[in-house]
Amino acid sequence: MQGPSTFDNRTKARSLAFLFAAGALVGGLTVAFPHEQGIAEGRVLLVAAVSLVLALACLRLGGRISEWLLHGALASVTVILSLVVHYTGPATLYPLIYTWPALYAFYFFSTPTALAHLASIGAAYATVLSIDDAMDATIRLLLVLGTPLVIGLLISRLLGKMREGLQRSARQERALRSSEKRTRLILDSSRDGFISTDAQGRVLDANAAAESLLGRSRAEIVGRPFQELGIPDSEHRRFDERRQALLEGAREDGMRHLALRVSIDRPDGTRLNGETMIWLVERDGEWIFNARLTDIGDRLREQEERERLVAAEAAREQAERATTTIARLQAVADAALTLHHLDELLPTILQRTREVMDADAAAVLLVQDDGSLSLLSADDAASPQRPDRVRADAGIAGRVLASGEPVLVHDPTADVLADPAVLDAQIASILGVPLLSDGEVVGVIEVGVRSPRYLGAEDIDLLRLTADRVALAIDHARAFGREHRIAETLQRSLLPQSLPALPGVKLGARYLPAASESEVGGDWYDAIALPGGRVLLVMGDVSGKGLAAASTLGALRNAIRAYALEGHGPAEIAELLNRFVLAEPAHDHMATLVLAVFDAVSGELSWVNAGHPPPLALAADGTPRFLEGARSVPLGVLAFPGYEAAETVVAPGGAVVLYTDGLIERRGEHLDTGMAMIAEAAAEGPLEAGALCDRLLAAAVPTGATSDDVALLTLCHVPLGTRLELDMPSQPSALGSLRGLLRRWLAQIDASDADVHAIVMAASEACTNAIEHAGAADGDTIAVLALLRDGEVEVTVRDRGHWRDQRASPPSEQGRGLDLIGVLMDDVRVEIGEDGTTVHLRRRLSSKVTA
Amino acid sequence: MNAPATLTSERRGDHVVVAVRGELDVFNAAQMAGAIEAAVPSDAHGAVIDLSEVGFLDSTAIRKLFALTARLGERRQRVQVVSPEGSMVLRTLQLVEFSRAAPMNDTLEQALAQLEHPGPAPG
Repeated sequence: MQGPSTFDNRTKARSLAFLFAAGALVGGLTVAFPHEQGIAEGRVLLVAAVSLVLALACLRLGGRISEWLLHGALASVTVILSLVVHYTGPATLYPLIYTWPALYAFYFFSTPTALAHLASIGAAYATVLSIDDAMDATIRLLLVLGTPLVIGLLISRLLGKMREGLQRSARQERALRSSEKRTRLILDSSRDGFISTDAQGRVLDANAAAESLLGRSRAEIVGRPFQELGIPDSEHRRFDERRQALLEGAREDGMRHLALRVSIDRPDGTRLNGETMIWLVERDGEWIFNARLTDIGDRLREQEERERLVAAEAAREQAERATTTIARLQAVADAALTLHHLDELLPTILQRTREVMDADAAAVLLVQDDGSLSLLSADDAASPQRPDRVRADAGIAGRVLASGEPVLVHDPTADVLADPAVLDAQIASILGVPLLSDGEVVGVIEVGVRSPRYLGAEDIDLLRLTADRVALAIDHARAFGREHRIAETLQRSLLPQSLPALPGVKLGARYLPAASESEVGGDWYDAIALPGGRVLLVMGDVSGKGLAAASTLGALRNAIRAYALEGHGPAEIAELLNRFVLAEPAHDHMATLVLAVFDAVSGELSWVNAGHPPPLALAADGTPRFLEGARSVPLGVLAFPGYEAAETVVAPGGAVVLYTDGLIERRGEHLDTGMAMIAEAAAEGPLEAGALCDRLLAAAVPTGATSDDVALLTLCHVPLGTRLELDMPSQPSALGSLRGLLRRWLAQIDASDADVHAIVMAASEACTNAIEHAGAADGDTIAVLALLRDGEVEVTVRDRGHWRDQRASPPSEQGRGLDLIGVLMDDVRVEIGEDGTTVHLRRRLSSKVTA
Repeated sequence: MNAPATLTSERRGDHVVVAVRGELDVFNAAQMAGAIEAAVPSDAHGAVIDLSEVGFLDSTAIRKLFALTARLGERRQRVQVVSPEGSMVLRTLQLVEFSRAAPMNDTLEQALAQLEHPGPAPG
């Protein structure tokens, strides 16, 4: 028996029980009803009873009955029937009952098994027939076997067909089941949730992913409206509308799907950010919604992360750009700190502005006193022929000036430009913003870019920021310039306007302010004529710069002049100055200086050095020598520095050079190098005060531009020859040194005491008269010339005033001078001219001298 | 040698010695004359003006000296001047015949002696 049986054993057992029961009933009924004689009633009843027992046994066993027991039981039916046939005799119709087990076999068993049963039935009946020796035995056997055979085969075929159909449907069923399982498996293994709902939104089914996405078991999901599965209440309406729209759309034009974003709150409190694709299918006339639910939280997070990264990158770039911009803006502001002069500042600022703006051209225009705009340009884009000045109402700058607001022009045409040459530079955008100082427009800054770039609103903001800094820088430079000018003026005013003219002395001085250095330095020099033919030389350097240094310098200068006129020597003056500086704590300044007193008659030089570079002395032959003596600390550092003067002699023909460190200091070089250099330069040329200054400056500052201030003071001790020529200040104090010089010269030409007395006296008297009566103004000089000619000394005294004629005025005290002169000299001649008076004095020397 | 003029004074009994040092000219003559006059107290019987250390006298200084001796004379104070033989100052003083105003002496001792015992001026 192959293949699955159509019937189960329980059915088979019951059917068999029915056969037994039916057989027992036939047996019972046969005995009960009138029947032929010869039927063994007792045996028939016994057999019926056995059948009944067997029927009950079969019922009892039911489904538990085994196949083999079933076959045995069926065989026992044949045996029992054969016994009954035998007992009732062959003539009865009982053999027809043989068809029962045969048909049973065909019905319930396979055809070969049924044929085997039929064969056993045939054998049993044949046995009975042969025992009973019945008539027509063969026919009876054929009938008994043939009938069930034919019917059985038919049943069997029918059953076979039926079984086939059943099996096919069972296979289909199985296939379907496994397909469903696979589908379920696929659905369940999907990460997307699949949910089916009916037209009202009630969930019909959902896959495993849907369970986890919704956070609910299938039992919780199925049968409930989809909306109740965690979709926020606020979304219900939208959901209904969309579903309704889908339904209507499907009916009208077949639009059968839609995609929605959904957020679903899970029972555990978490939230699903999902996307659902809903499509509509029709099944059995019903609309069913199938929905695929996708968790897009990760995608959203990834997208957010991506967006965050992009934003961060953009922010970083923005920050970097901003940093660069700020640094460049700072560079604009820094320019003001390092460059104080507008001339230097503006080109730098323009260049930096171009960097900030990334512009091709930039210009600054400043409002001048006359209202016009002066232009400064630092770029190559603008033509070199741009006008220096433009009218205040012209061009873009004029518009900015008028409005006080930025002006941005694209693709400028000649009529909007003050300078049409800009067109040649292919400037696509020009932007001008005002430079504001204290709310006033002091100028305009313009930038231009070449095509294809155009400037925009951002650039306006940036240029405004730049303009703020440019305006500050310009303010700063202007303020500095003002202070600088004041300090410079003050300092210049503190330098002597002219150097004293002293007989026997030639002075020269130079002051070279630092070119690049913006601040006014504290260098100064002074030369003060002292009584007795002496001169005080001052060379100082006040620490610090600017106005404060200049004012300290002024105080020191005046103090020195006061002390000097009181008759103090250099060491005393230095001590007094030190006290003066220390007593002025507000002036937190230190000063170095050299004070030197030179006696033109004796050639003695007495000096003190308060922390200053040593003076340079030059012998008449040019041999240089630094005066290293008398060095001490600068002023204002010690309470009792104990300055002591040193002395030397500068012989006629020699010179002394005082200077500040700017003359010897050069970057990267030792001071000794600078000192050696000026010593060499000083020696190489004539010792003439002015020329010496020029030579030293040329050597020390060859370019004429110095990084530090340079002050320089030279004194030349004029050598005396056969001819003494000197300019004497028109001051009584200068008379002493005139006499001293004259005596020195007369001694040189070997004049006798009487000659010396006469000539010195006469010259002094003549000069006194020139000073007193010539109406000489301060600073005027009297030219004195003394020469030896043919044993005769001739002295000429020339002034620029009108000498009073002794004969034209009543005799007076002053007249004695001229009387004396007449006594002392051999010849006196007075020439009164338009531009002054000249006195000629002659005296023949008493002793023989060589000219 | 060419320093500004200075002055020292010394009491010698009834007399005062005023020593001048330096050169006297229009620049300092008036000041010096005033200083000399101030240096001679009114109770002094006589004054010696010592010019031995004076290198130069100009006409202004001479005039001041004339005026000074005149004023001292009015105060009944005798004046003796010291100016050594051969000095430039003596040459000048001789030139203007200063001895008419005040006697000239070669030395300080001589001058003091003249004050104590007036005698003929040395010329």
